Amino acid sequence: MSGLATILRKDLKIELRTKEALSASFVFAVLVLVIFNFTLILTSDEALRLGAGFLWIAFAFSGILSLNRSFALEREEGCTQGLLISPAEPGSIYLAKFLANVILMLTTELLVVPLFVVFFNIEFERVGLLILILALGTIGFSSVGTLFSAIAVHTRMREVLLPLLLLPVTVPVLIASVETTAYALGADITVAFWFRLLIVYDIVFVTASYLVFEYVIQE
Amino acid sequence: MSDTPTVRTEKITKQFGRFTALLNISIEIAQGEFVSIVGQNGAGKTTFLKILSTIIRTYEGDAQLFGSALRRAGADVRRRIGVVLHESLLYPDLTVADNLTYYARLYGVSNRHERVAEVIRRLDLDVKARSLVRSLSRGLRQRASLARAFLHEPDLLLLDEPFTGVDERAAGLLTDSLAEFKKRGGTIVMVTHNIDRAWHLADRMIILQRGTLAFETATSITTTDAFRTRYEEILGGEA
Amino acid sequence: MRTQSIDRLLIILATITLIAGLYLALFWAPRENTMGDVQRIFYIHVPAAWTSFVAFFLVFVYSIAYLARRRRSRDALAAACAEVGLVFATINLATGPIWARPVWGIWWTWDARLTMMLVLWLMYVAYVMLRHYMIDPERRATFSAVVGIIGFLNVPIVYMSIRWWRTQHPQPVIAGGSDSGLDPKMRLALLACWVAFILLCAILVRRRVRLSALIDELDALQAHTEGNHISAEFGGTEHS
Repeated sequence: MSGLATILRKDLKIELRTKEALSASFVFAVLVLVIFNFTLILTSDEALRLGAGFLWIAFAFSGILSLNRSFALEREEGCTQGLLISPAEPGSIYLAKFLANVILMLTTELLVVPLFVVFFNIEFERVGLLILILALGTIGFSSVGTLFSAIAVHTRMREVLLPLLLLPVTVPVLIASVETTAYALGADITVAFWFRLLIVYDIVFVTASYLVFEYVIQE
Repeated sequence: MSDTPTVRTEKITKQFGRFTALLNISIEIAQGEFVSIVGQNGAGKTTFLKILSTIIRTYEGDAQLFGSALRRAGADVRRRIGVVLHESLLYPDLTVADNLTYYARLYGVSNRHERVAEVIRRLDLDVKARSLVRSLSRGLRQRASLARAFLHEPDLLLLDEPFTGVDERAAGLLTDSLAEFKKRGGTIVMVTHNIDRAWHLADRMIILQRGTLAFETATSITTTDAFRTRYEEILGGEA
Repeated sequence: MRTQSIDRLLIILATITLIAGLYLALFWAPRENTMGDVQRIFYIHVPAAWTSFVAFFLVFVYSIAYLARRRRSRDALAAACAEVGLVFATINLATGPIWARPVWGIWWTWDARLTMMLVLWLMYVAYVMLRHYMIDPERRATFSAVVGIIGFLNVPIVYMSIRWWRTQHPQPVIAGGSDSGLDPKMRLALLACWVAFILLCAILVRRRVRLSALIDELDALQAHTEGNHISAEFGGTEHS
């Protein structure tokens, strides 16, 4: 498990130095919001109603950008092999990459939400709850996302393949995240089921990805 | 010197699809031995090295490193191996020093800072320690890569064409480091196509040809010229 | 020889059941009261869905089998089942609107089952694309096995989430569940068609597996003639 902390630290250090994943996914997410504004001219009431969907479309696609980067940076100079020959177990490698992805995605999300509030003049109170939802949704999305990123990087057309593989599998997370986010933004709906679903999905897919990761990373 | 060979493989076979990269390779390498594996491109040299370094984990046959099964090789076995591949395994967006500190931490090196400083000094990288790996030339990257392999004081070094693309100085540094490593009882497996270089350093030469072990000899019982003739015979035999 | 006789038997059985099934479905089964003859597309639509589920389940089974033993034949079977499953899923998705339009007055509805099938279809299309974008056969087998396992694990969760989502976002239309209180004759026709589809599925999978074996053999022959080039491509870094 010591390998976990080391690899996570290394990923964050590279990101702090290059800021490539964060800047790309942040700018992309903002662009999505702007494009939405132009394609669907919204009042703040409508934005409140549709906002949860917008946010998660922005998060999903910008998240894919940073997920793609996750293993692309291991591929240069054969660094994946450096991980394989090291004492770090495949499970620790997976968890480290997964946590790095969660942190990067969540950072983008926490930067985008205030902009969303400002752009569409939205008021809502359940801020703490929203942050919890963002975390749960992001964990689910990155769990399979990290695994599939390690797969996609070894194919031709790498960047293109990841969303095609990932989005159908993350349908449940996206639905649950949108519903619960709508609730956090003030919608009058029952969301107990969706919270349970998010938690179940997170547990099932972090575990499953952790277990099969070894097959994906070895040569 | 212990009795269990450092490396022992039994009928290792590796297929990529229907292409056989290695066929029934059985080798024993004693502790402190320097073995060079030569052969053409595609002879299976790199594949063999990747199996020993646990990068490739699915193959047929059996292998042991330090007496324990390679297939179940855990952290304790991998901590005793140092690997130099064609690529440096260093992150281009980190400095040489950062990369080495990262690997030192990953291998659980206890006196991290001293070790990093020491390998930097040994491979004469002081000036470049704070440079990003991305900015380094091929030769410097190779030196940094050697520093990485020596960092955690392994017992077994696996080297894939370590002399390719390095300048004379680096080659000298490498030769010295290898000699010193061997003197301390370290075992070395080097894959190369440069017979002269291999001959001067090695105790034993192995020729791989199309995935099979074609010829094997101790360097002490024959001459470079005799070996080269033999090598060309084996290569010629296939054309 | 043995494979050939199994194939011949399968083809004969499939032909018989297909003709029988179509006869039962189109002539013998009673005319549905409210929907009329257009309802008969149901005998194609529903068995196609069931068959694709069976095929996708087999992808999951063969993927696990591949990771456990690394037999190439298991990988070929998983790939074949995914492709054939996709064919039946496509039949299901294409016949759905043909049925829905005259009966419900709409081409498409985000009904739980339809949406589920669409998501499955997208998932296995991505699976097939992944296979196409990889060169190294061993890695391709491993990676697609992982995707085949993760994808199938997800099926119940996707289905639950879509159903729940449906109850919260009711859609217009839809008169009566189609397979509740089925007439026994209808049920028999449905089963006959399903058996025919399963047999057809088995034939297609076997053909597809044999085709990949031939492609492999061709690759091996090319590898033999080109030798070193292939290994450089597969092994990644066999450097000079």
